Amino acid sequence: MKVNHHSIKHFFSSLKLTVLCLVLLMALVFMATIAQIDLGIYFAKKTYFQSLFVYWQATENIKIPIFPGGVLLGWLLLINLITAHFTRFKWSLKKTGIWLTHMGLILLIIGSGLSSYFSQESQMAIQEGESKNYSVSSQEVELVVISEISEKEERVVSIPQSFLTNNTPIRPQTLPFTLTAHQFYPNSKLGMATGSRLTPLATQGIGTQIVVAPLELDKDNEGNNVASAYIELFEGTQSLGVWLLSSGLGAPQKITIKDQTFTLALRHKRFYLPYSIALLKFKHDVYPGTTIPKNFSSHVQINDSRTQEKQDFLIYMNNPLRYQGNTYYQASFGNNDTLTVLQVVKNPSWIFPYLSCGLIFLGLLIHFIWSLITRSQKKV
Amino acid sequence: MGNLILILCFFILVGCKKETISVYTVPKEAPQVLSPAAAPQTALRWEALPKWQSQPPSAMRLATYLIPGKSSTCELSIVSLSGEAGGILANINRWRGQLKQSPLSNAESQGVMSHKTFGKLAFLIVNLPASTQSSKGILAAILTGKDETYFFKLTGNQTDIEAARDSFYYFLQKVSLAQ
Repeated sequence: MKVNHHSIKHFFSSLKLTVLCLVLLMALVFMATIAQIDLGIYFAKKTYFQSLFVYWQATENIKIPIFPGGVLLGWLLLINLITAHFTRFKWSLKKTGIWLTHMGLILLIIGSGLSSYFSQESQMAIQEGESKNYSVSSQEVELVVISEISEKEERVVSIPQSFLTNNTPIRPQTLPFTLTAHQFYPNSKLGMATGSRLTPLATQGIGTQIVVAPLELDKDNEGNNVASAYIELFEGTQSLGVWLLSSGLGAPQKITIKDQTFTLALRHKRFYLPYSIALLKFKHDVYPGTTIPKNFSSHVQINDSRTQEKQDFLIYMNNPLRYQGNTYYQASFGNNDTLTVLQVVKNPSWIFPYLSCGLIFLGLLIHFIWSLITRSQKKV
Repeated sequence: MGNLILILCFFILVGCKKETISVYTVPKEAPQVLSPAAAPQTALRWEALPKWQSQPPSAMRLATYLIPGKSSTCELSIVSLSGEAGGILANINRWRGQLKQSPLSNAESQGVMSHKTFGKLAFLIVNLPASTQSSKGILAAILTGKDETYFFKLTGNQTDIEAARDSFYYFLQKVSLAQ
């Protein structure tokens, strides 16, 4: 296939492409805003902005792309800006402002792409007197197979939720067995098999006594979804039974293969930290004589075994804790004011919007001042 | 046209974020005791009494406590099941089966049930005392919620159940359903 470099350069540096991308982006934002009413913020972002295309589900197994998604438009706009910047603009002192402004725009788009790819939001619920070394996703679950390494440590094999939806064998290299997910329900209700019209599908474990009814995903209260899956284990070609794993089960289940015991569970996806956070005290202050909340605050202590340091911190509204690339915000509370729920945000590209706004401001200021001076000189 | 296909291939390659299976080593976790706040999917709220010992959760149980009785301990389990959970009679006979007692008919089951109100909630109390088949008895309270049925089941030797009865009823006073 012959590649025409000139036509590629012309296509990507075209002003028409810029206008087209901006118009499509506006339409995408409009569609996502309307869709967010039914989908919720997380799924609207994932469907419209964090994908190459917006798809129409024609049948259960066929998705047809019907509109460019945020990823495609972002890339097109970025390449368009870079190509136009280096092909159309010949640098001169009087165009410094325009250059800086364009650089700022390029940085802004790069930053939003990096943020979309690398940022992560999760929650950490800590009871007073306890500490946690992980945060939890309220939207995604993971299938974990845990085995003991020593008295103090365990190995966790984490299988993402996306592996559970396509009924193909899962072959983690570190395990002596393979898994196949026959059914996955993002939300479900568990009930005892006794007296139920449904039949348990599990042949091993506690699932032989439990029936599962699939439910619509609760998009408004993502933490309330109870994900369940029927997983069949195989040692070679021999089936080890079908197991029901669910985030609604109170405890994990165990299986012993070749003298090694493995713990199986389906749980909300965890993000482990190299340090732990302990909740020393949660306070919920109200205005005197009323029940109107005045302040929520969590007195926490970071225990970092790598540096042997312990740091106290008070987290309250508009005063998050920033530590090791994570930011901890006071989000919620419970259990009669003895439990704190922190929103944990990890965004390695947080500095890009500040840099780009700074560059754009500087560029516009320089361009404004230059234009002002030039016009004043012409008048004289 | 060729240029367009190349360009699309480039975007498809860079646009996909693939998830992978990850393996990592973490400190061993102590068995977690499930508390009402850790089980946000249920509307049930309760408060254990100070001397009650929390136990690690098992499948289907919201919580398990050991309650001191006269000579040993009783076990209190809190379970939530969807809808009518199979019906009251089916559950009574399942418990009777656990006590090695024969099942009851609908009419006979009326003799082991009574209705009591604790706080603002109405409970169905089921009393299955120990028999010659087993020294263990069951004292249970059933609460019907909006979409779920909640079972508070106290199991133990009959003397321990009698000693823990007042604590159990006091506990039920503190049970509530979130809106």
